[in-house]
Amino acid sequence: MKRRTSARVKVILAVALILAVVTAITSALFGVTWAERAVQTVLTPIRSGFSSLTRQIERYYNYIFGYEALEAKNEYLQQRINEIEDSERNAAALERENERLRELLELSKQNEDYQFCDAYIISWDSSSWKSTFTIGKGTNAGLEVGMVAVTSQGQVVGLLTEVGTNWSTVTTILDTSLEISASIASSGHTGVVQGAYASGEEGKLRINYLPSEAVLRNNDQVVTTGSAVYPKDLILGYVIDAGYDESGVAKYALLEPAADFNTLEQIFVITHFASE
Amino acid sequence: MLDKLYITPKQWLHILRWTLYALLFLLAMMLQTVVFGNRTLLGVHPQFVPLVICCVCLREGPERGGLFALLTALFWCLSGADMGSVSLLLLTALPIGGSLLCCAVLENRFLPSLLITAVTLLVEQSAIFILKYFFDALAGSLYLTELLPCVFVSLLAQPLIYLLVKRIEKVGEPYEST
Repeated sequence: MKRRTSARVKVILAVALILAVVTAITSALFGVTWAERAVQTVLTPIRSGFSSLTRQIERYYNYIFGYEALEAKNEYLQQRINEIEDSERNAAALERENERLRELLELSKQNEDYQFCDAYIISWDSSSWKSTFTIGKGTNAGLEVGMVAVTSQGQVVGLLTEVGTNWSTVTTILDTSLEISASIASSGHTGVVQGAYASGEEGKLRINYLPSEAVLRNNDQVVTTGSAVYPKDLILGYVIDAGYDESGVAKYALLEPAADFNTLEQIFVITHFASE
Repeated sequence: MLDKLYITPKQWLHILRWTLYALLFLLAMMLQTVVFGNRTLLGVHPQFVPLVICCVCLREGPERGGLFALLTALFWCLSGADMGSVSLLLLTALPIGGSLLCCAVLENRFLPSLLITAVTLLVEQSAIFILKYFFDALAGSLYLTELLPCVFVSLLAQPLIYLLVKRIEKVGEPYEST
């Protein structure tokens, strides 16, 4: 009996080992497998239900404790600040180069060509070392890998890295694996923005590879330089600290992300934009 | 043929018991990924899934509990868990090891269960951290400032999960004793 028990346990352990190796290899070779797609598809309605239930409970809680009005006012003021800062960013860029005025006006006209797909966040990755979340829309809403997700104020949230039928995974700009080409709005110096978690700055961003002559001031805005997958001049964050990197020949700056990830509920995916 | 399709009351209770375990696992998973995915509890993202797997495996023994651990860890891995393959292996092997240890040396009571659950959680999270440390250049200091508080806070839920699992285990017990 003991031998049989032992044999069964050995079989379970062997199966676990084989499955671990198989999932690791298939994940590395093919990305999202059909099995993962199936599980995610089944989980999506459950997650959506839990997510809306959580939001409902949270709203009741806030209502009971009288914070709802305060939150609405805060949200309104935050939106106003964003609008004012957006105007300020445009003005700084316009001062630097008169030609840029026409370009920015052209860009704001082009923004009308943006096509958005809104989606609610249904779950977050619970790991401390990864910053991704799942939204309740996928290929059925026209979403594709590489599309950019923004807030209602146009602040960059992240990029779509996995897309299923009715779900998509968004890797946020806080994740260390994501690198986005960006520039300082006031000076035009370019660099690469990535999450600063690996260097012990949770919830912050870091723009690397800035030229040593770059002048960085607090609250300088950092925006996307644009690429085939995301438009330019989307706001990423604000400079809060700066210095020379480990090599001593290039500068880096620590950024406060523009998007507030703690209160994020709904995002907008730019499904189409007029690229230059 | 129809006789074979008949489900005895004992079998019904078995089905009910394992359904309740599965629902408990799903609840833990939803709490971990949906409720506390973007919120923190005492400053950390608590990990409930390893606690449920470990508690069920310890109460049900290395065979049935081990199979439960394998299936739930596989589901957890396929649901998009961070370093899912590592979790799949460790969340199956460690609870089975703990269960075998309980059968051989320790008693299947609360304190040994808490100890084995703590070791499971610590080893699983440490393995993920080490891989992230080498491949994603994670700062080593985060082990003390993030990982250990996360393990500690997660373990605060262990008594409740242990009690729930103990309650569920009692479903169908009268049939097993006869």
